[in-house]
Amino acid sequence: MTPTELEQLQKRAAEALSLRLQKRQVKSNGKPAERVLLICAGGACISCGEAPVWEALEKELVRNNLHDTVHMVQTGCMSACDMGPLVIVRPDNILYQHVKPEDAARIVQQHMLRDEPVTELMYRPHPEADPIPNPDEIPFFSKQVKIVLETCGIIDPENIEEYIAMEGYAALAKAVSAMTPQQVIDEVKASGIRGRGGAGFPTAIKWQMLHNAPGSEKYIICNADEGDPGAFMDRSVLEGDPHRVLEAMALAAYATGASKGFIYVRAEYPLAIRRLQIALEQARRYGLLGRRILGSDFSFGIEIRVGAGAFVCGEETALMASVQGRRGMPRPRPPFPTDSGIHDKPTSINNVETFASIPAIVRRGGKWYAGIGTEKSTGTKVFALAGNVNATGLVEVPMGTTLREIIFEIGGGIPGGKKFKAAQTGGPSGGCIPAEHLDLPLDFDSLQQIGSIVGSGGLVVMDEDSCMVDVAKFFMDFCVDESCGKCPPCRVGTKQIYKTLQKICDGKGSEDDLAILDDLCDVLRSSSLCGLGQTSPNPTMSTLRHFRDEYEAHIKGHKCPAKVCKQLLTYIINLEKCTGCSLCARNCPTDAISRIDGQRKYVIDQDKCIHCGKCHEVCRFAAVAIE
Amino acid sequence: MAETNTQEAVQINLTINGKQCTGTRGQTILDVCKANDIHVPTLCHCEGLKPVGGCRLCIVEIEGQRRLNTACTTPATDGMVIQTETPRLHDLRKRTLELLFAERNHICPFCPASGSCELQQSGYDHGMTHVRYGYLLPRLEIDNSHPYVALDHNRCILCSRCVRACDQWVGAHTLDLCSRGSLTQIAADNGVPLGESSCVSCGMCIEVCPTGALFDKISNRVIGRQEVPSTASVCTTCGLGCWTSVKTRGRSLLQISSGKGPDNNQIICKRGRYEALKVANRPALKQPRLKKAGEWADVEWDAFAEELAKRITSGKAGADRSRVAALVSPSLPLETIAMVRQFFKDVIGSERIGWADGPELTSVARAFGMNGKSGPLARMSDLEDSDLVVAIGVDLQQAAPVAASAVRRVVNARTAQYVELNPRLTDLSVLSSYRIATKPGRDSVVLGATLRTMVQRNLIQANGAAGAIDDLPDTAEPMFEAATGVAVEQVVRLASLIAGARRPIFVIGSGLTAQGEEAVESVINLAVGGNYFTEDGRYRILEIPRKANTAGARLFGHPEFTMANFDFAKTDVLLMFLGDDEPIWPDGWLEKARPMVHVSVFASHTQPACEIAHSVAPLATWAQREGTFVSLEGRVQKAAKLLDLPVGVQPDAEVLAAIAKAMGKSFKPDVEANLPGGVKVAEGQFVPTAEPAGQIVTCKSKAQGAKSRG
Amino acid sequence: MANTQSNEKLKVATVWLGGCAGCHMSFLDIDENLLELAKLVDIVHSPIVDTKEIPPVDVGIVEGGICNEHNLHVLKDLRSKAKVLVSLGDCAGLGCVPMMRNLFDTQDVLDRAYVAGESTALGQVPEDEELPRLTDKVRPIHEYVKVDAYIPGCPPNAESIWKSLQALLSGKPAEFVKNVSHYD
Repeated sequence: MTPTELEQLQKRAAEALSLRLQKRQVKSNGKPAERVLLICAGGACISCGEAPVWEALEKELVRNNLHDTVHMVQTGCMSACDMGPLVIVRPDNILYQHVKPEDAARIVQQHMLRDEPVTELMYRPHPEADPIPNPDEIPFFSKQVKIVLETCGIIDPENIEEYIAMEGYAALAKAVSAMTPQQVIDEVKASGIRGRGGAGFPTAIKWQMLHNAPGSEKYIICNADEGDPGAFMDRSVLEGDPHRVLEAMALAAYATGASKGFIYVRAEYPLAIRRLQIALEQARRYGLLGRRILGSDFSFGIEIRVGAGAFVCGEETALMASVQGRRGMPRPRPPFPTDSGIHDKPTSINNVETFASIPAIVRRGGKWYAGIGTEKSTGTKVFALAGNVNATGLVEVPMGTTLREIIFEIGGGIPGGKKFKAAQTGGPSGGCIPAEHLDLPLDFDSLQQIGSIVGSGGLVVMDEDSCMVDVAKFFMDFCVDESCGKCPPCRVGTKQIYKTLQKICDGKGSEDDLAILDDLCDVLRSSSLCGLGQTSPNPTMSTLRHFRDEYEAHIKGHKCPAKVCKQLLTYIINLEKCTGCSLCARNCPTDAISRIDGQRKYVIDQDKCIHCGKCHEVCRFAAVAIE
Repeated sequence: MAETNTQEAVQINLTINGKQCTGTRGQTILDVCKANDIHVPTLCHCEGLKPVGGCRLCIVEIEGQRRLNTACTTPATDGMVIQTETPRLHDLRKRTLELLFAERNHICPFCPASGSCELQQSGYDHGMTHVRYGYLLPRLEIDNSHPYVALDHNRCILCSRCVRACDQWVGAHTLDLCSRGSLTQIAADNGVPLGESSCVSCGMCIEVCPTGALFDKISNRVIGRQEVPSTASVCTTCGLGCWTSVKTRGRSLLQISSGKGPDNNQIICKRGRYEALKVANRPALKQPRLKKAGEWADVEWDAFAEELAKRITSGKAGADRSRVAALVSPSLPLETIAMVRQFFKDVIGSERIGWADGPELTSVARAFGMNGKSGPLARMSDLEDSDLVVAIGVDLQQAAPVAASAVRRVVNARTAQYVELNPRLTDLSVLSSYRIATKPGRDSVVLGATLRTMVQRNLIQANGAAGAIDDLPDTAEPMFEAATGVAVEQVVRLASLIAGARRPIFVIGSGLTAQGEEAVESVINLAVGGNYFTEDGRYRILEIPRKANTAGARLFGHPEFTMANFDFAKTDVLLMFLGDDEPIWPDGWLEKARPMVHVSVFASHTQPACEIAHSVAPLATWAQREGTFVSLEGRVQKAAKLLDLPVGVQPDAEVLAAIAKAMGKSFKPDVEANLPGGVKVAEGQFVPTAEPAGQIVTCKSKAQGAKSRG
Repeated sequence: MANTQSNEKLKVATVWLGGCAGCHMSFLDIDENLLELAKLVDIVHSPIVDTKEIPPVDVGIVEGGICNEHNLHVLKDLRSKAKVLVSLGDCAGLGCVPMMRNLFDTQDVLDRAYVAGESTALGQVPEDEELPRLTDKVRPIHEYVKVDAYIPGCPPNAESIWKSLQALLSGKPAEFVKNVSHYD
C-alpha cells in the first residue's frame, strides 16, 4: 500500500463509518430508520454482563427483522465504567446505562421501531433528576478532552479499516513520505510530551538519544506491563484501539532508526494480547508493518512478549531482562537503555499512553498538542478514577486540571454526602493528597512538590471513612509482595515498614516507631536500586506528612479515627437495641459474647474480644456499636 | 580488564575524596578506587564476576548526580568528582547492613563463616553494635542433600555471587534465584535439592559465598574457624594443570581451593577440589611388601631392594638387561620420570622404558612431530574466541571439567556452537547444536571425508593440498555409511558447519587419539586444509590429556611403548612406577603380565596392579613431593610439597638408590641432564613448540584400510 | 560524668538476664584492670554481690536478652535506676543464641526441653506462678528500653569491655572498638 492508497482507503472507510459518527435525530418514515448500536466491550462492561446484552439485542433485532437496518458494533472501553453495560445509539446519540438482557426488547421495540427512546435506561445525576439522554451533556463526558482515547469506544478494535477511517496510520504515512526522522523527533519535541509511565521523562529526548546512538541494531519497546493497582488506561487503549499503539511504535522506529519492536504486555490482559495479535496481523497484511512500510525504505517489525505479571517488570531494565528471557530484575543505570538495552543494543522504552498520544501529535503538529495542558506538562492525561467517588472510570483531561474538577465535576463528588479526605495518585509509588490541595493543578511537577506523583494515572478517592495508616499499609503490603528481592533496602526495608505499620494499626505502636518509619523511608528512597524501591515509601511518607495526627491517634490515643483498624475498635452491644436473638453470640469465633443472666440481652467480654467485627456485621438491629 | 597493552587505553582523570586519581576508560568507579587504594565497602561484588549493584554498600556520591550510584557498576568518566566516605554514605551503608542482619539468622557464634565472613566484617567496619530494626528471622530450609556442599538459606544475603559464579565461571547455571521480595531464595535448577540437581560439584559457589550460607561439608568440619595458611600449588588430577591454593595441617590436607590460574581461569573442578583431597588423605602404603608363597609380607627397604636386585641380575634378565622393562605413569612429576629413565639406562642398563598409559600418549606426539617439544596445539584461552567447538572422542565433563566449563561458557554466551562426534552421549550433549554418533574407531574416515566434502563443494579454499584431496576418504564409497555409521548428509552438514565458522576449534580426547596417529592426523588435516590456525600459528586443535604430566611425558621423545604395544614375550622383570595413578589396563593385560619372573609395583596405595605383582614399594602421594608438571598448554608448573612423607615411605630418589645399592651400584640422580632433549624448563614458562605441518598428510592405503577394518 | 578528682566513687550495677553468664566471666577477665576499676567504681548490685534490690546507680550493665517476664521486669527496674545503661554482649545487644528460639513456636521449645528430651522420662513443662512466663519472642534489650552504650561480643573480649568502660567512666561515648570488638 502507498500513502495515496491509504488516503483512498481512509475515504472509503470513513464513508462506511458515517452513520456512527453522525449525531442527529432520525425518524422512521414508514420503515424503521437505520441506526447503529455501539456496545461497550471494555473490561468493566464485559465483567458486568456485556455478552448477554449483545446476544439479547441481536436476537431481538432478528426477531423484529431489523438486523439489516440496525447495526451492532462492539467497541473498546467507553470509559464510564460504573455505568456499564453501556450502549450508545447513533445517530440519535443516546446513551443507555446499566443495560440488562431483559432491556433488549424495550430498546428495540420502543426505540428502534417506534423512535421512542427508553428514558428509564438513561443516565440521571441522582434518582430524582431528569434523565440526560445525550452523553455529550453528561458532566463525566463533557469535561473530558480526548486524544489518547480519541477513537476508543467508537471503533471496532478488531477492524483496522475503522481505525484507518478515523485517520489512523495517516501520521505514519505523513512521516515516511514527507518527513525526515529528525523532523518527526522535532515535532514530538515541539509537543513537549513527557512519558506517561510515571517518571515524566521528555519523550523527544529519549528518541533523540536513540536516534543519535551509533549502530544499526536498535530496539523500540512498548511498556504495557501496567501493574499499578487500579490503573487500567493502558489496558483500555490496547483493548479498544490497538492500532494507535502500533502506529506510534512505527513512528518511533522511523524517527530513531530502530528496526524491531517489542510490546511487553502482562499475561493478565488476555484480551489485550488477542486484540494486539489481530492488529499486528492486519497491519502486516495492509503493509503498515514489516518490510518497506507504505512503499518506503523503512522496515519495522513488532513482536509481543507476554510478562508473567511481576510489578517490577514495569521498570525498564527489569522489563528488558524479562524480554530477553531472564529473571525480571532491575540493574543500575548507567548504562541507560538508549546506550545499552536489548542484546546490549540501544533501546527506547515508552509507555502505552505515551505512544497513544503520538499519532495525533505527528498528524496535527506538536504545537497543537503543546497548547493543551500546562507549560511544563503538556497534553492530556488519562486518570483511572476510582474509590469513594460517584462516577468512576477513565478520565482524560488536560494536564493542570485540578483535583476538585476531576472529583467533584467529572466524578460527581463523594457518595453518601461524606467528606473528602484524600486522593491517592500514582499507585504504590505515589502519595496521598489531602483536602487542602484540592485546587492544585495536577501535573508532573506540582504533584512531586507535595510528595506524590502522576505515575501511571491511578486516582483513588478516599472519604472520611478511610484510615490513612491503613492506606499506607495497603500499599506497602503491595510493595513487599512485588519487591524483586535484589537489593536489601527494598527487600527488607519494605517488610520492616509493613511490620511497623501493622504494629501501629494493631495499637501496639510507640512513638519510636514514627522515627523508625522516617528512618526506613529514607533508606529506601536513598539506597534502593530501582525506581520501585526508591518510590515505595511514598504512600507512607506522604501520609506521615499530611496525616501525622492520624498516626498519633493510633499510637497515643489507641484510636483509629476512621474506625478501620479493628484492633483499636471496641465493640459494645447497645442493650436498648439488643433483641436477644443470639446471632452475634453464635457467630463470635472466641465465645466472647454471652447472655446477661436473667435477661434476653447479650454482652461482649472485652478481654476475650479479638476485634474481628463479626458481631457488628451480623447484627440485624444495629445493636453492636463501634467505639 | 583493558590494560595498557591493548590499543586504546584512554586515561581519565577523576577526583575521589578530594584526591586526584587516574583511571582508564572502561573501568568502573570501583576499579579506579581499588587502583588508587581507596577502600569502598562491597558485599555482592566479586572480582571476576559481572557486577550487579545489588547490595547497595558501594554507593557513592557523584557531583551533579541527584541519586547515589553504585561504584561497582557505574563507569568512571573523565572529570568525575566523587565522594566515597561521607557521614551520609556511612550512615546509609550501616542501615543497609542492619537491614541485612535483621533479615535472617546472622547469629555469628554459631556460624561456620564467623571470622571470614564479609557481612560480619562490614558490620565491624561500620561500627555496628546492634540492629535497630526488628528481626524478621523466618525459618528457612537447610539443604544438606549434596555430598560436598551445604546450603543454609538462613544465612544467605542474596548477593547472587554463587549464582553468577555458577553461570559465568562454571557455565552450569545450576543455581539461580527463585521467588520474589523477602521470599527470594537461591534455588538449584527448578527448585530441587542441591544433591539432586545438575550441580557439577565444583564448589566455586562456596568459594565466592561471603557468608556462611554455602559451606564445604568436607573441609569445614576440619578447618573450623582457625586461621590456616594456604600454599599455592597446581592440580594433578588431569592434564589441564589448574592452579590451586591448599590448606594443610599436620599430615592431612584440609582444603583445596581455586588458585585463580592464568588466562582468567577462575575455577577448579570437583576432581581438583574433592577427589585430590581424598587421594591425599586415603590410606596409603607405608612399607614395602614381598609376595612369598602367595602371601604378602611387609619387609624392610633393604629386603625389598635385595629381592628386586636379585631378580634383575639373575636369570635371563641378568644376561640380557633389555628383558627388564619399566612402565611409568605420566601422572608423575618430570623429576621422577627423569630419575627412573636415568636409573634404567645407567644402573639397569635397559632402554625399555614405556608409559603406563594408552596409545594416545605416543600417537599425539608422533602426529604433531613433538619430539622433545610441545605440539603446536591450541590453548584453553583459544576456546574463548572460537565460534564453533567440535569435540571429537571426548566427554569433556568427565575428562577435564574445567575445559567443559570453558565450552559451556561460550555456548551459553551464544558466541559459539558446540558440535560433538562421539559414539556415546556425553554430559555436554545437551549443549550441542549437532552431534554425530560415529562408530567407534571410525573418526578418521569421517573427518577425512568431511575435509574432502569441504573442498569438493568449494566450502573452503583447498589450502595447497588440492592434489592430496583425492586420497582422502570419500562419502561416495559404497560402504561409507555402513563402515562409519554416518550418513552422507551428516558429513555434509558437519562440513558446512565447520566451513561456516570463522574460528572453529577441534577439541580431541582419548576417544580419538587412542585410535592412533592416523586419527590424529585427520584432525590436523582439517586444521591445515581449512587454514584453522591461531594468530601465533598453532593449530586450532585442543587436545585434552588424561594425566597430569601427559604433556611432560611426551617431551621425552619417541619411540617408546605404552601399555598398548607392550611386548610381554621380551620381558622377564617389569617395574611399574604408578604413584597415585591407577591406569586403565587393557582387557587381560594384567593377566598376561602375571607369569613374568618378577613384577614390582611402585605406588602410593594398594591398587589393581598390586594383585599380580611380586613386590610392592610405597611411593609418595602427589601432595608429599614437590614436582614439575607440564600443562596442556605447555606451561611448566611446580606442584608444591604440601605434606611430609610418612614414616616408612622414602623419597623417589632414595628408593631407586636403594635398589642400585643392592645391585652393587651407585645412583646419583641428575634430573636436569635427563630432562627431555636437554630442554631447560623454567617454572611458569612454556616449553618450545614444534612447527606445524604445512601439508595435508595422506595415507595411500586408506581405502583398503577402511575396508580391511570394516 | 566521671569525676576522678572527687572521692565519690561511681556506683555500678550489673544484671544477668537471658544469657549464659559468659559476659560476666569475660568482665572478670579484665584481670589487673579490676584493681584499676575498683578505684573508680563501687559495684553495688550484681550476680556476684548479694543485694536483693537494685539501688540508684550511675552505670547499669546488662548481660542477656529478654526471654521471660522476669528479665523484662529487671531490665525496666535497672533502666529506671541507672543514669547510663550499657548492653554487654550479643544476647543483650543482638539477640544472639537465645534468639534462635524465635524460629520455633514457644510451646514446641518448652516441650522439646522438658518433655521430648532424650533423657527425659515423664517430663512436663514446669508450671508455677512463681516461675516467670516466657515472652513470645526473645528480643534484645533496646527493643524495650533506651540503651546508651553497646559492647558486642559472645562474649565480648576483656579488652573491649575495659576500653568501653574506660570511655564511659571518663564521660566519652563507648564506641565499637575496631580490631578488638567482635560478634562471636
